[in-house]
Amino acid sequence: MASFEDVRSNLFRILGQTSFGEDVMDVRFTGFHYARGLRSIDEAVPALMELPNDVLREIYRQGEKLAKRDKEMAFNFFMTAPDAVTHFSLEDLKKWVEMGLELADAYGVVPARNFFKGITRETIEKIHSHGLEFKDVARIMEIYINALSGDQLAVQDSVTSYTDTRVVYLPQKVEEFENNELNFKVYKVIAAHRYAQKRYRSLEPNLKRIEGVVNELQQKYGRSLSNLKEDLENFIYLFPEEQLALDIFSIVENARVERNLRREFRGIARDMDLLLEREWERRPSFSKLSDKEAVLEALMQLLTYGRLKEELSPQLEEIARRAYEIAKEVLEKERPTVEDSCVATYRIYELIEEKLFGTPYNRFNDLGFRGVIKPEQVTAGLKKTKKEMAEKLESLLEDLQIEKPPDIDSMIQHAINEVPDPLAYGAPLDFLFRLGLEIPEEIQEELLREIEKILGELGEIDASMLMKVLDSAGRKIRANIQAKVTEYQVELTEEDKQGAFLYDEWDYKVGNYRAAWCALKEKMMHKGSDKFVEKTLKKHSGLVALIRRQFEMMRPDYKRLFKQMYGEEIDLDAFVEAFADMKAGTTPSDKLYIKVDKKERDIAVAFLVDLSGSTTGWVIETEKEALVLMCEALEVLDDKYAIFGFSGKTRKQCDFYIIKRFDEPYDEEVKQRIAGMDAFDYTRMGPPIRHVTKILEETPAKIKLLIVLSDGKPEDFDEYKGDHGIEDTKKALIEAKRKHIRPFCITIDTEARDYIQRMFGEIGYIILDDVAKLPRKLPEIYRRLTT
Amino acid sequence: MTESKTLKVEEYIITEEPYYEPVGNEIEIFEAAYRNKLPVMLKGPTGCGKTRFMQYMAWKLQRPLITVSCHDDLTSSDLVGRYLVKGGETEWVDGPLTRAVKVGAICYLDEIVEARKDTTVVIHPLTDDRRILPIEKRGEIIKAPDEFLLAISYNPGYQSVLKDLKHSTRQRFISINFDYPPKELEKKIVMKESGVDEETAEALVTLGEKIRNLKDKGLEEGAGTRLLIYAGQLIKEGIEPAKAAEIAMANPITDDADMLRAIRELITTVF
Repeated sequence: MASFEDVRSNLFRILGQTSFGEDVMDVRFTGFHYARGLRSIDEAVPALMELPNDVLREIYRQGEKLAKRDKEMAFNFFMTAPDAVTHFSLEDLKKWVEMGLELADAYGVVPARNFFKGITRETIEKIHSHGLEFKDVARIMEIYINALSGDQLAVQDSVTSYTDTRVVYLPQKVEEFENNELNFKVYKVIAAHRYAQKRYRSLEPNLKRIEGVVNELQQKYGRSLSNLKEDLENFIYLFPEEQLALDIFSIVENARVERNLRREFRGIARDMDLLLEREWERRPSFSKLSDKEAVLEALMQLLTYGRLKEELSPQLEEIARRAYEIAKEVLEKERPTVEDSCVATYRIYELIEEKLFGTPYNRFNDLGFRGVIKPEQVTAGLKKTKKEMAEKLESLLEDLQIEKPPDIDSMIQHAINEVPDPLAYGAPLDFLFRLGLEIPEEIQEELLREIEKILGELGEIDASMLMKVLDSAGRKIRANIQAKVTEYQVELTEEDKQGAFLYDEWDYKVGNYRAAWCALKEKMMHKGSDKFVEKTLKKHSGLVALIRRQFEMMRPDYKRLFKQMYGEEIDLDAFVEAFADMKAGTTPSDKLYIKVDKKERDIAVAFLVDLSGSTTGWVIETEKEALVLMCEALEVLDDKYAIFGFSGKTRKQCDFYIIKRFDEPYDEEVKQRIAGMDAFDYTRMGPPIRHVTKILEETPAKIKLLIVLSDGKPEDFDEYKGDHGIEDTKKALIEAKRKHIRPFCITIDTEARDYIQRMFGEIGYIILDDVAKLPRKLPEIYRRLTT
Repeated sequence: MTESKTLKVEEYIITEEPYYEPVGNEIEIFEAAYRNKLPVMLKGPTGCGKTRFMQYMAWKLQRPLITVSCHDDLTSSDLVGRYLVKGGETEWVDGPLTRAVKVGAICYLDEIVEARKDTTVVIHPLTDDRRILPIEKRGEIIKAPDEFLLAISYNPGYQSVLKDLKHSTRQRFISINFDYPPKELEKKIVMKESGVDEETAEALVTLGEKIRNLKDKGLEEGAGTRLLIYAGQLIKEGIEPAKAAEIAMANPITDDADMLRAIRELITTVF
């Protein structure tokens, strides 16, 4: 057991003081008023002394964690900890501390101090309750599923798990097992299963490939296909009993997908077996199911477990076994496709209808981790992808000056349907050709290679992959064409020049500057809602805390600088070298000292935000949120920072919005200006860059950074387009670099790679595929840029 | 225990053919550069075979290979040389760069961006048609023989503005791009280098591919081929595959707890 002195000195080491104030209600003299009482750390010692050493050590460790955040919180913790360990295991103790820290992050230290003053029933229940919640695994699952798919799938929670090909929905909570490690495995299997559905194109059958069956179905049941639906939804609709058809399809498809998934990853196969075993117990008794439901249950059991849980009436078993034979045929193929499953669905459906016509059917509940298939959601997801594809194609055709076809949507649909053998070399080129794109011969080879890389080893091509194909083709083609410049000139009037900064513009065709070409005016950003910052901080409370902690670690610490002219210590290495030089007869260096100094962080950063019209809506809103988080983070450091915005229309009117100057504090005024940021006109990038360069030049700092937030290429109403805009921007950046300013661009234009590299150089930019990630990314990028 | 051997750097000639699988025509390009006395920059992510390629080329061209790993305290005297005092006498000692120039070796400056900016400029006169190395302290100039070649490696992956290669430096080199080898080739490399069977190599390469999917989605760089090989070697030693992959492929590449957890889950998915 630890001695009094021992415990006391440990507490003192951790807390750094011997007493803490407390609000004590004092009613003796003047009625109700508060007085500050003092509590000594000695009060905490006796109970702690009684604890076994390993427990005590853990309590110190946890206390240290808390003390870093707030000393009084840690003191309260030490007071309560002896009581806490009578309720909690050491693992739970850690959970308890985590809960307190989360509370502090979300609501500040005062409620967290109170939290540690005692243990409530509520706290105990919360700590002891089992089950894993979505929010605890969301980020890990998102990383996991995107690593598997190499795609950009979002992860969200929902009552049931499914995917619409763009978002993977996972259950809100998993409480299958007592143990959360096992519950985590459940999440993992669900996520992997959704990945496999996408990877093996479960949700994207191509009805063109089974035209015969589709015609037969249409004739038989008199239902027809609709343009408003995607193939999966269309297929299911062909059956009078849609739910039955969908459930049969799901059973067969899941068997096919799981077969592939098991072959691809043996680890996941193991986890899946664990769940299968668990679910086996829970399968319903046949007696509780209708005939049709019982047949489906039996089919599923045969396909998944290879046996039946209980006996089934011979007639129904016979049907189930025949259905099983049909499904097995699919699985025994060398490379079964989703279309094979569609055909099998039809045959099984026919079989069940023939034998059990008119009997009731409600629905079939499959194993939990398989989730559900929602054809109407798949339609919505695919439509969205195709719409994006249409937009990309449209702008590409515009750039190529190819006339836009009247019905671009059906053209895309056609091109997707007609992708012949996806494995054939050159198939993607064929797809592009069908989209009306002519691929210049000189880039065909290169393009094919890039596409092969995207498609990787996958034999299956789905809509999102074709989208990527279109993307990379677009980039290559665009890089290959010279944008045609429209001649459009505007004159500067005296009025334009009044109160304006005049900047030159680079004309790459002439190879010279156009002197005093652009008139830039500084404007103060108008103020917006005073609630915006507050709301943002609340929305991202967890992230804010994390970023703050990360930035705290960037605070400069002490470092020994060698070979200095002045310093506290002699640098022996330098001294020896100088001595040798002297002996050899050359001039020795006089930098002979070691200076212990704060590793200098003398940084000034200017954020320049593109406020062009295209950022309207959620792009600008997200940028604003990101800037709020960035400011919160920068307040932790001593880096100087400023925020500017720009937009405008022609060279007459280059507007430069001031949101925060270098010398302004981050106060209410600035906060409201951030909230007031809005989208305006065009993107003439050169003048604002030159203006920021000028401002940065006047700001003393060792390292000067210019971070541009952009959503597209430089483009103005007049001739500032294509190469001219890019070259002028590039020139403005070169001018900035000459003045030792380091520019960096964060863009959300996924097609930016070619032009942005031209402007910002190979490592001077980052492309975010999703603007929603900006609030998380911006501080992260800044951190990386400056460490 | 095999006996250690001490060699002077300029005597270090690679006698056995290093294992190297060409991905494109990088060998021909390097040879052409060598014939034309053009300095070479190898660009690419960590662990994709840049250093091995250098060893292979040094062997192929039968020149000594002098490698300097650059770091932020590397001074120009560390490269060029300095006076030392020995028993009251001073003695000039050549640095690795000077030695390489003198004997006509291949000098390979690994991760050049890590070196201090004022250090990198000493290589400038060596990289243009002058091909000379001025030694300031001695008031000498050394003219490089035809056999001498300067090569540097550069990894554009570190996106820190504080660590970019100056244009005045990078424009002195022709540049060969390296990337992770294609799947089949990488499998072959992992098998050959670590000695694991095909199935294990396949799993490692799949895992590598999945981890590389995370580049720019929270990972600065994916797991290089080298890490795959390390994992293979550990497995060959009898360490359980999932553990080996965790040690060699997850822990070294990130400190982000969620990211680490997700990669561990990938590992247990593959193995």
